[in-house]
Amino acid sequence: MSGVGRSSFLLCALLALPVCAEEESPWSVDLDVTGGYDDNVGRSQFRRDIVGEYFGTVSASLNYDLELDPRKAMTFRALAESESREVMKPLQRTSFGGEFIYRWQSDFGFFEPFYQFTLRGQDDDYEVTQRDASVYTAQLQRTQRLTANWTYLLGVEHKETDSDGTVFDLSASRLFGNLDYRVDADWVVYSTLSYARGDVHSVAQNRFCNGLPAADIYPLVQVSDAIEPDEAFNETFCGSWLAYRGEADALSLSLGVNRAFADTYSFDLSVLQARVTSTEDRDAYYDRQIVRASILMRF
Amino acid sequence: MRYGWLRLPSLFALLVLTACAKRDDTEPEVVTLADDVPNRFLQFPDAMPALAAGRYTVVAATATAGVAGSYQLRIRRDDGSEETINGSWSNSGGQDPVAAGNPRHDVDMAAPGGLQLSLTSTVDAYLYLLKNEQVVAEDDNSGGGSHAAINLAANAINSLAYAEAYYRLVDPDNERTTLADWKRKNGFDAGEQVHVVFRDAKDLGYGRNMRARRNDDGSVAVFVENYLVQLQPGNPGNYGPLNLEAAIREDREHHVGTNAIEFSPIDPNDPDSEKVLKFFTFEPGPNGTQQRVLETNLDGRGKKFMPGPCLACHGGRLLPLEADGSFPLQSLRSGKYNALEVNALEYSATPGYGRDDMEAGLRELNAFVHGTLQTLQDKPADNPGKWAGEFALDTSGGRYGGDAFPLLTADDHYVPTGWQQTGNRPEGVELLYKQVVEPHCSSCHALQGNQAGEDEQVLVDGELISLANAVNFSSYEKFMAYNDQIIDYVYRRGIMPLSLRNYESFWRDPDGAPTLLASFLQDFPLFDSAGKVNAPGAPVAKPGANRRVQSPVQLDASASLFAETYAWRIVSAPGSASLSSTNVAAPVFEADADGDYVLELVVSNSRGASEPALLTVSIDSTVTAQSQLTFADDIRPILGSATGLRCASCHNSPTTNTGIPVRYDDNNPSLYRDVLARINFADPENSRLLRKPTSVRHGGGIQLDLSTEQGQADYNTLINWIREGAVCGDAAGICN
Repeated sequence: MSGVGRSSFLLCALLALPVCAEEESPWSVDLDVTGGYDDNVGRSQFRRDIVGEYFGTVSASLNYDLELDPRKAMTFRALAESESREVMKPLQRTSFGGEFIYRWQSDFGFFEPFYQFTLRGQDDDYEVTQRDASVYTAQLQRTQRLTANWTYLLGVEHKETDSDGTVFDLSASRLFGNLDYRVDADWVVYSTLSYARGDVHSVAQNRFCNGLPAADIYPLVQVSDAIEPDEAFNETFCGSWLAYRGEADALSLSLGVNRAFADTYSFDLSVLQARVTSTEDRDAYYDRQIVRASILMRF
Repeated sequence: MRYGWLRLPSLFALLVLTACAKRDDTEPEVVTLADDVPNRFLQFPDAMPALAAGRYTVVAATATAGVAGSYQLRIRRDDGSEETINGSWSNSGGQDPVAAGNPRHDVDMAAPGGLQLSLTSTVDAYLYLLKNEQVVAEDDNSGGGSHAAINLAANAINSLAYAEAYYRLVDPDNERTTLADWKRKNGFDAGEQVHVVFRDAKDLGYGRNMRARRNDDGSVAVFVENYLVQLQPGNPGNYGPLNLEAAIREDREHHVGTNAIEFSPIDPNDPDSEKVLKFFTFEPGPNGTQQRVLETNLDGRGKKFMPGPCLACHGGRLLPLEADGSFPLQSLRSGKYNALEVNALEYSATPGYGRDDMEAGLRELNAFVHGTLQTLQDKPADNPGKWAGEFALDTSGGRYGGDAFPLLTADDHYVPTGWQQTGNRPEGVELLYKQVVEPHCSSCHALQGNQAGEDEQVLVDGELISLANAVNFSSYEKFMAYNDQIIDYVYRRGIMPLSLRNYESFWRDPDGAPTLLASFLQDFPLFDSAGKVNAPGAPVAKPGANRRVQSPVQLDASASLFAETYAWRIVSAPGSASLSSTNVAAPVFEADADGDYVLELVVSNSRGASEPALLTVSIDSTVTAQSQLTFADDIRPILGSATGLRCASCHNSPTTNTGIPVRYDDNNPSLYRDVLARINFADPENSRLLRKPTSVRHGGGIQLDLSTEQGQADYNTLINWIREGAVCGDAAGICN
């Protein structure tokens, strides 16, 4: 099934679920349609290895909200997502998963912080087996309004990825902070700063299309704790491509703007810039920029 | 709402459980190969298993007659399966293998191979293995006391015992058990004279950090650290350019082992004794040491015992261990250094490690090698290691302008005389050499052969050629003398090119080297309907040569290639006939009347079924029963051992045939063992004992002329004797 076809299928399947249309219903469906550009799909360091391309994502979730008391609530969520790509077809992905969210507020009040604990399990199915993975995420965050317009969020997260390959088995933790500024009832601008430490994977050619070896990637090999041929890049491009994994520090900043339209959908535009640097060798790093535009809908 | 709370967590749990299914990839993978993938690299074609297929008898005997007691017999087969038999003596027959009081147990060998027998008992035991009532092996009482044991190897030249015997011979005082010790013994305390780093892209794919020195006594020592950046077990990508970068940096994380070779006196305690090549392999051990190992995995296709994987391409001629368990001196003497083909190595773009940077070191190293080859070439005529090294010297020195190495850099375009275009040779012969023979064959083959029969020349396509030493491929004509064997070894079996990396490189473009070579081969039968040459792996049925025998007869088609299943069929029969099974490799055929019976065999694997192969079994009740054939009574006369005729006319001692590798006269005290060493039960028709006298590639010419009745009869006797286990008989001085 093509990426577009798969996306349509997912969307239809979820919309066909018996969603209660009553206003007070605990059931809801979220739909997110995103288009974007990733300027470094392989997370590569060398210019010659960097592949940028457009992608499209359709994700949907079926949510069930359960209010335990006025200050505590839980949400159960079933997720489905499909990502399509223009060039890197082997990286097209379908994901299914589930999420549990527990929210609470210690004290009532507009400016009182509230907390959220999230557990998420997700199964990613790529068009290359090597990257197929089960991804588990645990996240804790605190959100508080500073003023009527400013809201901050602080969070910690740990993510484990257990893949069918070796390089794509990852473990990483992240600290992040977010600052929202509500311009008016419809517009919000926001910024997120994130620092992560843990495993990252990257891609590099070890032999070029003309058969010559890429000797200068050896320093990357030296900071790696796992290496394997990259199925996705080898299927897509000539030459020989390796995926490698190592521990790294990742610093990223994203800026975005969100425009709400009524209560049911909004438009979001963001840009993320990241630099990921090996903990063993600061000269081993990659940069990545992702621009994305999304339409978010709730039914 | 009442059930919503229950329903949603259930859905959630289901989804999370789906996501949580444990992935199992990160464990080291066991490399499993499909049934049509060749996997006999870096080893000699003749494995020489100890036993032929068929029924054997184990006899539990005792040291003295007339005793009573009980025993337990363990039978262990090559596949690891074990059978235990409990038995007893009431009135034993002593050391008589056929005495009535000694219990007998049948053991069926479904295919040629080895066998381990051990017997523990309450009395002093003795053990025999019989074939057709003839003793094939007996207890050496190695267990001592009441224990008896017989260990027969599935591969006579690739076993733990073989490796241990080798190191005992080349390092009798255990002075080279670590690389550090080896270096000390070879003068590296004074430093190296050559240091080169390259990737051996052609044969092993490693990044290789090589150091060498030539000592004042003429000894030459080379050791090379091998670097491998392992991506995935069994992945050919492991053997890529990153290995070279690891070698340049001497990155210990990726250092997988070290091969060391010394050209030094055969007797370590006699510096004036002849020099021979000695091979050692070391692997990383505790505390940064490098420890000598008995087996090594050079290509990712499993470990092989020393020195086989080294000698396979260093001119080696591996023979089974001597009767006393020692390593054969003839095999030791057969090793030679390979010259490094500068244009076949891969160099780094890292400054200081390009070809230009390595060229001087490689030249010096090749000069060392050239010197050792000259030393071996100049051995006295009566030296058993005497070798015809002209071609090896031609290629190693020719690339540098001659023996004096006047050129400072290797000439990549050098073509030896035997491969230059002449009016008698077909167009493109130099291309054949540069595209096929030089990159894929000549490194190993140039070091093969001996000097026996070199003076016997025949006219081939207008060229006077000595085919006795054709295996060194020193000329187009010698190479083409192996036309049929090239088709068999390269295109059917996939055992050549010898190393896995070289094999992969040969077949990377089937329209390249494989097709070019095929275009020179006469009657090449393996083009497909589209005119393409397919890589080896297709099943080939090999029921063996036609035979004249008595009924019943043991058949054996286990020499078939890439065969997973067997299907026999009786095509025509002058009388009633049957097979003990139609779907095994080695059934027994039985017929009640004399005449020619035609059998058909089809083997198959995942690629499909083979072409049917026919076997004519001529049942003749007047011939000597194949089960009664013995070396002493039936084979010696064919060899001319007692009379000095036929084979023994040249294969005798003393001989005028310099370098002749085996003596078939009765003065040879190990005549029977030497003949056995030239038999391959796994592929009887391909035994050297049959191949040489039926071929023009033999210094003595064709001695078994299959176009004559006598030749056919002798061949029939030989093949029947081999297929029945090649027993010796009872002749004193020959078999005892």
